[in-house]
Amino acid sequence: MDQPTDRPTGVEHGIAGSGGEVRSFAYSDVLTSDEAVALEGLSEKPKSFGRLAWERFLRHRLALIGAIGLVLIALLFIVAPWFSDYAFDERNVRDRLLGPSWDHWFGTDEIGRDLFVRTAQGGRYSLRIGLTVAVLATVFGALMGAIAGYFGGWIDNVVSQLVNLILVVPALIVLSVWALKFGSSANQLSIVLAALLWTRIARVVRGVVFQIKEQEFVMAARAAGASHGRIIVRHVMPNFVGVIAVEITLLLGTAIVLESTLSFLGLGVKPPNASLGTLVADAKGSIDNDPIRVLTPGFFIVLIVLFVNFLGDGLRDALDPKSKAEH
Amino acid sequence: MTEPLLRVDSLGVGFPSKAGVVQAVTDVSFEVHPGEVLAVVGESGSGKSVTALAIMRLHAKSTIITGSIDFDGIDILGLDDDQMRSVRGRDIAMIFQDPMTALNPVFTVGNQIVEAIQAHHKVPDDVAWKRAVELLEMVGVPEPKRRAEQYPHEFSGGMRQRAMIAMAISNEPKLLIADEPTTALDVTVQAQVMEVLREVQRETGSAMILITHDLGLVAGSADRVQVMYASRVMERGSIDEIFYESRNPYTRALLDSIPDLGGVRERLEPIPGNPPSLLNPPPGCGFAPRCSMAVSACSTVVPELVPVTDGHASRCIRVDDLVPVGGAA
Amino acid sequence: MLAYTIRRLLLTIPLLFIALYLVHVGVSATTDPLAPFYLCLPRCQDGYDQIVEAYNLDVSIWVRPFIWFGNALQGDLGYSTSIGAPVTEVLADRAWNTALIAVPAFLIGSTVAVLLSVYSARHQYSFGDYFFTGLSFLGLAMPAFVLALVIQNIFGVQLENWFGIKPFNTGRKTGETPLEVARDVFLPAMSLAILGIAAESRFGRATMLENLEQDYIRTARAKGVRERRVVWRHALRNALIPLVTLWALSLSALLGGAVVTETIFSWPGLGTAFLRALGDVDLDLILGITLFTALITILFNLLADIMYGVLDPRIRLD
Repeated sequence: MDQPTDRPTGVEHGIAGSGGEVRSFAYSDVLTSDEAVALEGLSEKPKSFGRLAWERFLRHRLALIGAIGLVLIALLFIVAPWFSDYAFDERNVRDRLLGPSWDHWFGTDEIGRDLFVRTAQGGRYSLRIGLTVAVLATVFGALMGAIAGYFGGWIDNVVSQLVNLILVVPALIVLSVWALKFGSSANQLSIVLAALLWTRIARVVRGVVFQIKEQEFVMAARAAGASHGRIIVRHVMPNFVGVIAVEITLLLGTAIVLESTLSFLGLGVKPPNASLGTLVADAKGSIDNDPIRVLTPGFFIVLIVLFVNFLGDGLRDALDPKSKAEH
Repeated sequence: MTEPLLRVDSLGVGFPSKAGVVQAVTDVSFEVHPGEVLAVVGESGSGKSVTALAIMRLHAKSTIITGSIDFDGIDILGLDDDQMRSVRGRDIAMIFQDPMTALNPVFTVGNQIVEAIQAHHKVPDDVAWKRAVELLEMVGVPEPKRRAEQYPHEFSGGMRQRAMIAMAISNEPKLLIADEPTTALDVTVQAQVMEVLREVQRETGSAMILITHDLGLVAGSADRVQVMYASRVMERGSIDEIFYESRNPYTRALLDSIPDLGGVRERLEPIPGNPPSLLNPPPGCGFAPRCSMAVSACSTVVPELVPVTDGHASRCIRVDDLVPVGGAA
Repeated sequence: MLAYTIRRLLLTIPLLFIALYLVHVGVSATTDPLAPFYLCLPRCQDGYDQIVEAYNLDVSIWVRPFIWFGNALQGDLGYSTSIGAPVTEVLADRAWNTALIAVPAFLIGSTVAVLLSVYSARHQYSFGDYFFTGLSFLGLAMPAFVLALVIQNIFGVQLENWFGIKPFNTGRKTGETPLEVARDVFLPAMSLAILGIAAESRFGRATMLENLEQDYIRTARAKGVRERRVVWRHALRNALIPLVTLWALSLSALLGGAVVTETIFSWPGLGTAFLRALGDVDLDLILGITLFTALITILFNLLADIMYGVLDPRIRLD
């Protein structure tokens, strides 16, 4: 954490030895401030920050598409299987390797399981892990970052070294050791992924806290005798709700990609459970004859992450008090 | 009077935005003669800097520019991009407000001056470098040889602005545009930099448009003054005509709001209110809502810029009521 | 600069020790090399003793890493059981193979990314800008394994179906001559390059736009400098400062081995070796690769900081 803060930290989530295959998605386009709006003398009625943020969010069409898209996908995964006659692990050996039909929307696999139901189930599993990881990592990372930034000194140093350690130890080792010791249920997987992904958010929050704590209202609170905990919760935390909202969104995308990648490699979700990653892995062998089977779960991963990134970008634009520009 | 070097005729500059066109400059006409210093004065947002950028054609492509700009017989707005490029920096050079950000942080100061020279003259590097060092010496940068090899961050604010001036005069332009050249500087060095600017302007014999909001600065440096408000020219005249015989309530308000122009005034009078929106400007005179002399007609019709004497003109329908009372207005 | 470099390197040594220690203990705790012997004892006492000897099982698990450290400091990184060769040999061999796909991927990827960044920034909101921005969104959303599978399928399989020729090897390193190696390298390198382009071009575009907005760009234009020079010299030179940092980080990640891409293209690089070592609990190889990737990460981070200082005259490293 001793590096200049404006440096990109693009590949820090790479599972070491993953060749930057898993990246964080933290780059936003810098909006150019419209010359006209920048002109002084253009008076506008003041609006509340919340209202401005909401208006900016709505104006950001991609963000809206992202939000609606995510809701639709979640609904599809949750609701659609109710309309299917097949259970997620129901085998019909006579109906092996069928193409898409009215009966089996996405076809069947080599032991006759309905791929639509399996995709929905896998998708739910992936979303669940992604959400859990995003929340866990954000809470833990924000806390660590806030503590490091607020207290500074040796506490800051310890947290920095912990972050560095996590960046040096290959994630794959942590994952496989953890899985062998504690199993690889959705919750176990979420915990270990969160333990690997909290560093970025900690860094971001630390930087913000560093700035905030020197500001007058915090000084005033301290002078008035408020406790450290109270200052962190009441004065420091609310100031980066925006930052957190953006980070949590981007983290969701990272977590889903990471989970599906690990599951694809056989280090994540294990049978009988299935996630979008294991579905791709299952179908990989038959990709030459039946590319659609690989592409379907792959398509959903891409779509989910795409929508998540749209949403994250929109949130960032909306919540950044500095961005006045229109898109 | 000699043929003007620059003739701006009913210039309009508008910035399209989602909400409509922001008209930053409306119907601005003026002339600059060879060797003279024209000060353009106004609050921020009055259109003075935008006018300057329009002369340099440094606005975004989407900007709507109307009217005409004639420079030394060249129709500036009619030039193609490459022709315009060869005018910039050679015939017309510009000095910007903030020397902290106007110099590229990753190139040495000498390097950036050399670039200005070589953009227009095919001279070898060593010759251009020698010239850059000379220029730095000319604008009063001590140890110019060593300083030329330094980066902008190693220069103080005043020194950077001197370097900017050196860069601007490197091709001996016919017209210098200085956009608030001292605003971003410490008060202590403002006078020195202004001095340097005046000196090089006299030495090179170029004309200068000095854009500022500081009437105090104008008094000692300019030959003529043009006051702008809410995208329009409000008044124009010689230094004396503006300072002592102003026929415009806005100019008078502006003069009342500056501290101590000779130790006569006891109290500063701030101008009440804010400038109007340029997006959908209200009808009538832009200053009417803030004007102590406004009559009802002021908010219906935009007054013409009427000549008072030769070279002195004011935009006010009550121009005849504003006869000078003698002495400071 | 030298003092800075040495201090930075010294600071990372404890970190490296702790990381390797934790890996050693963690991996040792999850496996028992003696497991196959429990049923056959005492018949196979000899084999049992050999394993105890080989893995220092008579020493506490907390002390064992120090034996490894001792050997490692003398240049002995142990023996890889999964590949059947000394770890140093495996590392040299696999790192070379990884570099064969990583270096071209990096060079092509960063070049294309810079070109796209400059194009998009110069033609902001044009059709081309939207098109490339859209593509990079797609690329960022695409997990490496999906991309690699799609590329393998299109270029390795479908092209042959469509045209009856197979211009690229679907994977595997089989070639001997440089041309054959190039054919083998093409698809995995392309997969990695696309991932890099997606991330870097978006970042590069944003950085270029930011720099093109700066005052010194206006100054350069006011001097009469050609637009091409304004963009490529003034703006890009500044945009390179953060980009170079990003490049150092991504090249170090690439050289550490791309597990997913190498796996899909059956590429005998560090990534596949690492995955195999994990599966077979090949402790020495796991430690060796960890050490290697950690060193690369540390070196390239240092390099990034040094480059940062070189490119930005405002930064002084000391």
